[in-house]
This record gives sequence, structure tokens and C-alpha cells, in this order.
Amino acid sequence: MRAPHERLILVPALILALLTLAGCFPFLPSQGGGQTAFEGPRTVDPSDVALPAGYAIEVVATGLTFPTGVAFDAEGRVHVLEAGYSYGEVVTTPRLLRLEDDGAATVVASGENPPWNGVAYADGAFYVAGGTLVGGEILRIEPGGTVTTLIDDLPSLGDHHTNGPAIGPDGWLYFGQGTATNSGVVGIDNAGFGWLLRYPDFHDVPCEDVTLVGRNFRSADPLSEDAGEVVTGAFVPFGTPTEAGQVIRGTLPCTGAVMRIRTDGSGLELVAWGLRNPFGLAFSPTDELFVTDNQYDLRGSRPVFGSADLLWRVTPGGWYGWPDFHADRPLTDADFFRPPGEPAPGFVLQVHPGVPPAPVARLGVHSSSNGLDFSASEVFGHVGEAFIAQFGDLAPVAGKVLGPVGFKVIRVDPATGVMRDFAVNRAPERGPASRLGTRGLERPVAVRFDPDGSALYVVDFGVVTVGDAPEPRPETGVLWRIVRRDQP
Amino acid sequence: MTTSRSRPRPAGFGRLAVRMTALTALTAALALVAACAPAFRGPPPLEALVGTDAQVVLGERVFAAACHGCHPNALAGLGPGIIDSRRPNWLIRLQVRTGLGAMPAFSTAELDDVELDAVLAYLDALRER
Ligand code: HEC
Repeated sequence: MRAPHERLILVPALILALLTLAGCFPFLPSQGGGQTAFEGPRTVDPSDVALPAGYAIEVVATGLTFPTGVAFDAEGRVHVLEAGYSYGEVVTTPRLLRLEDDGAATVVASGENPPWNGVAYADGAFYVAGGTLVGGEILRIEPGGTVTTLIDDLPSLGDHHTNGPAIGPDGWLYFGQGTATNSGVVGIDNAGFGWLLRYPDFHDVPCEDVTLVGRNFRSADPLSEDAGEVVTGAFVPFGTPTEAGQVIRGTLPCTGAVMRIRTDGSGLELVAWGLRNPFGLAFSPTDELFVTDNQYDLRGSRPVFGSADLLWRVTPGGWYGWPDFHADRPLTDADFFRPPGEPAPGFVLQVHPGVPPAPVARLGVHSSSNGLDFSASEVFGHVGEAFIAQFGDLAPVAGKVLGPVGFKVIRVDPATGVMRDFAVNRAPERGPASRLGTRGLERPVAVRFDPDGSALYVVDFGVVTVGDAPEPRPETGVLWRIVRRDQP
Repeated sequence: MTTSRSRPRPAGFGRLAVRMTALTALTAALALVAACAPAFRGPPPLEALVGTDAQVVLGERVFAAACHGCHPNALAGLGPGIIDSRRPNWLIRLQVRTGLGAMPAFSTAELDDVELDAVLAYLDALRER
């Protein structure tokens, strides 16, 4: 006979053993940076932002609504892009603003197809990439305000949009086109994004022919009145099953790719594919194309666990793994990618165009590593390093995190893949200012050096809290500028 | 827990065993609760580790490629923070090699012993900064 107290010990010991094997992860609450309350207006204080010794940050503009880009005209005047749309399905007006010396903002141009996700300036004109409401487009905007559409109807109706652009050393305009879905399969998560209800037939389009395994996924059907279920495969519309051996024709334009056009809009070409959401594009001082790529989320019919955002050095013609690899590791590696308590994502492609290369750097999982630029000036320092704006996690919508990820500017040495914080909130904990109760950074989305390379401008999208869905706050965007005080 | 029935023991041993088990369980539970409470408080690490040796430099590179994604700067992210408490190195080694819970396991093919030792040296350097 066992003594009663002996049995009492057995229960906690058993629970403990189970916990040790199962780990704590499933039992801990999500602690995303956006999981906080916010009462406007937003106030800012540069002294709440920590930088390495010798650098200083200042505020250039406040009160912006969903800013996503910064560029400089031939005279070096600062221009800011406002997206006109944010996740959370808030639509405003996309605008290109010129910041005047007296602090006023002049509207250079505005549009009707947000979000305007990025802007570059070259040879007398601004180039803007964006659009999701009626498809993606690249616009040319004269300093006088004349807008010309260079290319439109890009497959940008889904989760991720038309991004960039960057003008290459060859004079071509390079842009990113994000994927329609998380991992190739349209599901109820896409109704949450809003677009599935607008465009129920939209789906991902490969750049070259692909052959499917015929893996299909069962999900609820938000498009029908009765609470029925539907079956959906990869690269097909919601509710469409696929078969083993089925070939999906590749086309141009396609999703999950970097493409390029001439600055007159002609000559669309594929640069690289198998990317997921290539948001930031920049050429290094040695004229190589680098791309930040937001990787898989833990959502939808084919959720993927633990995939770090990537920094790629893009080789023309390359395939970078989506929707079956995370960098050089196949998603069938269950130990890495299986969401706790769910099966591993099986391959959806029968044959892969190759094995993706190793990335330059593996950034924080869910960090939303977005705009990037390279230092090319000894005055600023860190020449040849990539500075990357990390928008920060959208947990728990994109997946659970145990601590806020991102909400800062980092620098990466492309030779080693080592990442270091460069501008980050000064507080005992990490996260956006709204969560920390400070007046520092919220969500850096783009960075760009000014024409002489001596100042780094940081576009801070503003406050986005996350409940059941993202809740973006208009008029909380800020433009910051970082300079070196102890100039050599 | 069948030994009490099969083997005769001197009186009083049972109670001692229970007390020992309770103590072990309590220690383990405390360690686990600490593990389950990822809360690092401290200034952001902005500078490179100064005066660092070759092993720490290697450790930083290996950590960047293998661990940073889920434990950014060895703090909480997708996974828990790993420099907020002084976990013995054998436990970190065990965690990396066996991938307890939601973490993937890293085999020696993935991460050899020299690299894992370097990661541990890097984590030590981070804790001491
Ligand atoms: C894919 C994401 C991922 C990667 C990559 C990863 N970890 Fe983890 N790690 C986790 C998660 C999640 C946990 C929590 C496990 C649980 O409790 O279920 C964890 C737990 C740990 C713990 C235990 C911490 C505690 O408080 O219990 C240590 C130590 C650790 N990881 C170290 C490492 C090291 C060193 C590396 C690189 C070699 C690494 N991890 C790579 C996700 C990851």
C-alpha cells in the first residue's frame, strides 16, 4: 500500500515530467509588441531611443498617416510617402508629400489605389510601387505632380503587395511582388485580411511551370451562407481541389518574385522567384541586389512555425524556396516547422526548381524586416553594412511570440550575417513605445540614407495595436533622422 | 513507484524518499517556472562585445545563423529569453541537442561541438557585459 502523501507527490511529479517534455511554450500567453492598449495622440522624444555611442536621433516630421517611404529629389529635398492603406483594412489616401524647410508638407501627388509601399527617385522623377484594391502598379511621379502608370494589373490583390522599387546600376527599375497567401493555399485567414471577400478567385501565380503533389486542405467556407467546408489546393482559387501531377502554368507577372521593367514601363522581366514577401530592395555599394523577405506565418490552412525573416543576396534567375522551403531547409523538416500540436507542412510541389541558397542573414521570426539601405559613407560609418527597418510582430494574428520582436532598426554585416541593434527603444524591456509607455519608436518600416550618405532617415509607420485583427492608428507616423555626432 | 511493494525497507525510509522527491520536484519546478517566465529587464545591447576572443566571435556568428531568429539577441522572441537566468551550460546543451518542447533539435551534423561550445561562450559573454 502506498502512503497517501506518496501519491500526492506523484501528481505534481507527473505534471512536471509532462511539462519538461512538452515544454512551456504551449502554456505561455502571446506577448506581441502590438498586444497593448493605445490612447492617442502619440508624442515623441528622441531621448527615448538608444543608439550606439556617437550617434544622435532627431524628429523630422510627426502626424503622418501610414508612412512607408522616404526619398530625396535632385535638390536633396525630403519627400515622404503615405501608404493610404494599412493591414486592418483601413483605407485613407495614398500621397507623396514634400517636406518644406518651415516644417509644412506639400502634397506632390495622391492616388486611389493604396497601399503605396515604397518610393525611389532617379533622373528627375519619383517611382512608386504599390496597390492592392485594384491590383499592383508602378507609378512615375514628376516633381510637378504628373502621375504616369508604368505598369498595372500586377497580381497584388492578396496578402502581400507590390513593393520596392529600387533603380539598379543598370538603370532598370526593380520591384518586389509579394505572394497572395501565407504558404500557397487560399484559406479563411485570407478572409481575415479582407481580400478573399473582394476577390474570391484570386490566388498565387508561379513564375515558371510547377507540378503539384495534389495536396488539398479542408477549411471553413466564409464565402457561403451555410457553415459548409471546402477543399483547396495550392496555386488555385479558394475551394478548388488539385490533383497529383497537375501542372500550373508559369506566367509573368507572377507572385513571390522580384521583377524589373525599364523606367518607361516596358520590358517586364523576371529577376528571381520563390520569395514570399520581398518588401525591401536595395543595391549594395558593390552593386549587388539585396532583398528582405518576410517569411511564413502560423496561420491559415498550411501554417508554418518558426521561420525567420530573411535577408537575401539575389542572383538573377534564382529560386528562393517558397512555398516548400524556408531558405535552404525543406518545410518537411517537421522538427523545425511543425506548429505545436499540428502536422508538419508537407510539400505542395512535386519537383523543386532547385535547393535555395543560404541567406545572408536570418532575422527575427515575425520581425517583419522591411525597408533596407546600405551605408556608403565614412562620415556615417559602418560602410557596406545593411541597415534594416523592423516593423515588428503582428502577434498573435501572425503567430504567438513570447516577447515583442522587431520595433527597431538593426544593422547587418553581409559578410558574417551578424545582426546588431542600431536604433532601439531605451527601456528595460523590448517593444514599441506604445507598449513600453515611452515616446520612442513604434514601427520602423523603411530606412534610407540621404544623397550624401551622412544621415539615415527612418520611416516609422506609427502605432498598430493587435487584437483579433491589426488596429492601425492614423496620424501617428513619424519621420526620424539619425546622424553621427563624433564625425571623423 | 512499485519498489515499496516489492522490497522490504527499514522503517522511515519511505518518508525520507518522499521528502527527497519533494525537494527535487520543487527545485525542478522552480527552474521550470523560471524558464516559463521569460522576462528580461536590462539595457539594449548596442555595441559589439569588446575585447572578445575568437571563440566568442565564432559563437556570435553561429548564434546569428542558428538561434537569433527565435531568441533575438538571446532575449525573448518566438522562444523564451535565454540569458535572463543563469541556466547551467549542460542544460542549454541538452536543450539544443534534444530540442525539448517547441524548439527544434540541433544534431552534431547541424551544429558541431566546437560551434555549440562557441555559442555557450558567446552567451556567457552576453551575460557578463
Ligand atoms: C525555431 C525556433 C527556435 C530556434 C531556431 C532555437 N530555439 Fe531555443 N527555444 C525555442 C522555443 C520555442 C523554446 C521553448 C521551448 C518550450 O518550452 O516548449 C526554446 C527554448 C530554449 C532554451 C530553454 C530556455 C528556457 O528558459 O527554458 C534554450 C537554452 C534555448 N532555447 C537555446 C537555443 C539555442 C542556443 C539555439 C541555437 C542553437 C536555439 N535555442 C534555437 C525556439 C527556438
